Amino acid sequence: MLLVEDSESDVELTRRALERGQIEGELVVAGDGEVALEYLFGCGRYAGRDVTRTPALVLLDLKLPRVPGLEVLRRIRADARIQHLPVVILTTSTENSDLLSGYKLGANSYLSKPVDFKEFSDSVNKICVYWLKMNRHPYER
Amino acid sequence: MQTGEQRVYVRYLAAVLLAVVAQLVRLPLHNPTSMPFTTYYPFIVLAAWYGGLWPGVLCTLLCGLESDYFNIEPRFSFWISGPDYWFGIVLFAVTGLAVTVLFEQLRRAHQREQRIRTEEQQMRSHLEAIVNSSDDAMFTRQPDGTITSWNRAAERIYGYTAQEVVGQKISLLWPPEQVATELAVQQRVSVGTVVKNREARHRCKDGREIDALINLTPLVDGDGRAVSVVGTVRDITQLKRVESTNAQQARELANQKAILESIVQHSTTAFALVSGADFVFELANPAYHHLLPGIAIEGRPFAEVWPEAAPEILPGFRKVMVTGQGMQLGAVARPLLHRVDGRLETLWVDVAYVPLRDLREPGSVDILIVANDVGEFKRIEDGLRDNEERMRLLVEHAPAALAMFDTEMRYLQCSHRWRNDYGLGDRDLHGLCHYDVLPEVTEAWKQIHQRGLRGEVVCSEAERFEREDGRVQWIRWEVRPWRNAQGQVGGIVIFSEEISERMKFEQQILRLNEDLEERVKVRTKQLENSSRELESFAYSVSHDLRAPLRGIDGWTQAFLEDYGQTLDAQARRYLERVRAEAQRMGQLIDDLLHLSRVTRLPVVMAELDLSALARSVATRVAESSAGQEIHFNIQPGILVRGDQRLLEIALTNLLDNAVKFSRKKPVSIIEIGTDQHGETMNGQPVIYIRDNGAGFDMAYAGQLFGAFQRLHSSAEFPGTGIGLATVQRVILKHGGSIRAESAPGQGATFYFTLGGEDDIQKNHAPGRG
Repeated sequence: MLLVEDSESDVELTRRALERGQIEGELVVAGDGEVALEYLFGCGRYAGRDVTRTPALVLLDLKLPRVPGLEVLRRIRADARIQHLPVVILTTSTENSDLLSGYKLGANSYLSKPVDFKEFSDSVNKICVYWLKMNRHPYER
Repeated sequence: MQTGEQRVYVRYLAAVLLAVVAQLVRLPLHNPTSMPFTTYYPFIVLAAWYGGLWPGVLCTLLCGLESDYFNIEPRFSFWISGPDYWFGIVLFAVTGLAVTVLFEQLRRAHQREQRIRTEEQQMRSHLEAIVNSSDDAMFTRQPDGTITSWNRAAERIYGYTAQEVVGQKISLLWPPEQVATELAVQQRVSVGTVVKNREARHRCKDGREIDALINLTPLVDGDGRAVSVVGTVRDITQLKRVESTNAQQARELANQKAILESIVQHSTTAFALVSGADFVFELANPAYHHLLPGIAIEGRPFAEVWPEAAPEILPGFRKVMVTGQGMQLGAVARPLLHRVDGRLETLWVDVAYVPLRDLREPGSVDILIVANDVGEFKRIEDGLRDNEERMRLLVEHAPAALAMFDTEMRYLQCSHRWRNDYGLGDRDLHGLCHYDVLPEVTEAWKQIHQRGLRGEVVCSEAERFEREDGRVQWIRWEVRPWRNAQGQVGGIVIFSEEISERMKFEQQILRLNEDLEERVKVRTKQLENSSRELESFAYSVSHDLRAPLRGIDGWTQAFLEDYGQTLDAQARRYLERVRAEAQRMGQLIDDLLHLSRVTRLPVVMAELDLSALARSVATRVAESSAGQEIHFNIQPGILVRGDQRLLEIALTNLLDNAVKFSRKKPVSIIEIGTDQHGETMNGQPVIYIRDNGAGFDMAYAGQLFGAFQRLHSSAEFPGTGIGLATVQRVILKHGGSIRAESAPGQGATFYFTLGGEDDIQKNHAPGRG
């Protein structure tokens, strides 16, 4: 699972939520859009990574340094190798325009991060249960 | 007489000569004494035949004497020698006398016959002359109708010659439709009836029909049956025509008389006829009575009828009577004392006196008074004069150069300013031609004037003139046709005004406007920038401001979870308080963003059912307030024009509020409806939402719609104070208005209206871009 999130606090809280929800699996964290793209396409600091080993789920924040989240999403959907990757937007933004742009670019789901941590961890857990356990992955190995 | 005497003399001479010849004839006889008498008889017969009785007797006597002297013995003596001779002589005398008498009788009979024949001849020729010289057609016919004679007039009238018709039937002249009648007449005439002056139609040879006046006289035999019929016919076609023309003329005359009477009766012109030395009214038409209301006129002398005007009028009458010349007075003022109300007024009449010769009484003259009430014209004329004077004043003192011309460009009027502008001084311009007054008028201007005279309005809002001194003048001018009462162009009005000052200002204004537009552009740009900044600010707030809050909340929670057991209750309560505040901060940010989003949303107007929308919002609100008994009372069928999304936000806030503030009541009663008696705004109803909640003090009503303004403590009723601000934003975006009425503990009522679409565009159009 790839978590694209610049806020360390949010990364930690997400990680904590996953632990509490006993969600297993490797969590790769990308601090900005550029790192996320390098990871996904096996270049830069992730040069040589096997691109076919796709993450089971991408949790994508929108407001990111350097490359914004929507651009990351666009690039994923533009690449034939990983275009069907499940991408869930998990963002603080409640803007309607972000919501619509996200779906337009092919996001699989869109969630607003609530301020209340209990609600937040609840949401994260539910997403992961659904996408990692219930949903069938397009690139099943 | 001479001739008669001569002839008598000749007859006797003839008798003597015949007697001599008778004796001479005997000379060849051998025996003169044989046949002493016999040879004389033929001569006696001749003498009697030629000369009549007495010459015959004379001849007989002479022959007797001759015979006695020459033939009876003794010869050559008158002596008669014996009774035999006496007897012979006496017998000769008697026989001679008898022969004489007899021939005399014969002669007379012959003469009589001659005379009768002559007379008859004369009669016949007279009759023929009469018949042929008559203008009437005459004919004779047999009782069966066969024509036996036909005169010249008949030939002329009918066109048939006598030769053509004699022997033909008279029915030749009858038109077919009259045959039966004519046969009946013919029958009556044939039994001796005389027909006098019968009128009928006859047909001529050329087919023409004439009106005939017919007389038929039968000539009857001893039994009273007609043996012949004499007819005379007079052609009265012309007469008939004249008769009918006369009748026509008489009718026309009567008609003209009726028309004349009708005209006099109904004319608005007053007519009256006065006659005699006292000018007694013989007649007066209704219009004349109208002039002198309430006064008896006919049969009374003028001085009695209209005493107040008589001194002015009667001298005129007398003059007309004496001179026999009519008078045309024109419009005159006459005093008239109203018989009804005693008011003395002035009657304006246009009067003429016309002398009429009275044909019944030679030498006397009547006067026809012809009068028209011109009071109304007089008033109009006075009014016109007033108007003209006002108009003159208005034009003369108009603060612009103004002149009015007729079709020949002659001055009718002009203003002082005009005189000043063209240096015309004070002279009288009326009737002078503009081109004579100002010879320098250019051809171009003359053309413009002509266009005006053809009915065109020619004008220039601002025309630049460079004067000789180099000064630039701006003139606004207009050439406009004016029309007379018949709608024809009566001339033109020229108006001109120097607008150099104004042009200066206008150009300044133009420049200022351009500056302003430039500035507006800059400002708009700035505004757009700041609007964009605001948007990105809101975006940042939405994202960046909430992230730390989540951190605070999250880590406080983590702290509590991981180390909660090592803390006392007080410490845990503090940490919970930290979390609550963080969450409240998050709520505040959410509401603020919401408000800002409402502000930025475009308004999409549509017809919508507010009642239905309120019901769905109420259901949702009720669901989120489980445990509270709420009774919604929503008036059905409230139709408005508005933006569904924005109105839903407003209704949600209002109903949330209503539910929240009535939470402490056993039952919340929330009512939505339209103010039936209240005013409407731009056709939109006034809508109210009423609750039975805590209400508020009207003293603070002013703060109600401000952001973060709260009239109740959070502990009492939680909230951020953004809801009503959002509601007001929505209402304002619709161009409507909202107000609230309440008292503490009395519940609250919110009234709002949604303005028309125009207002919204006007007020919020920039917000949409």
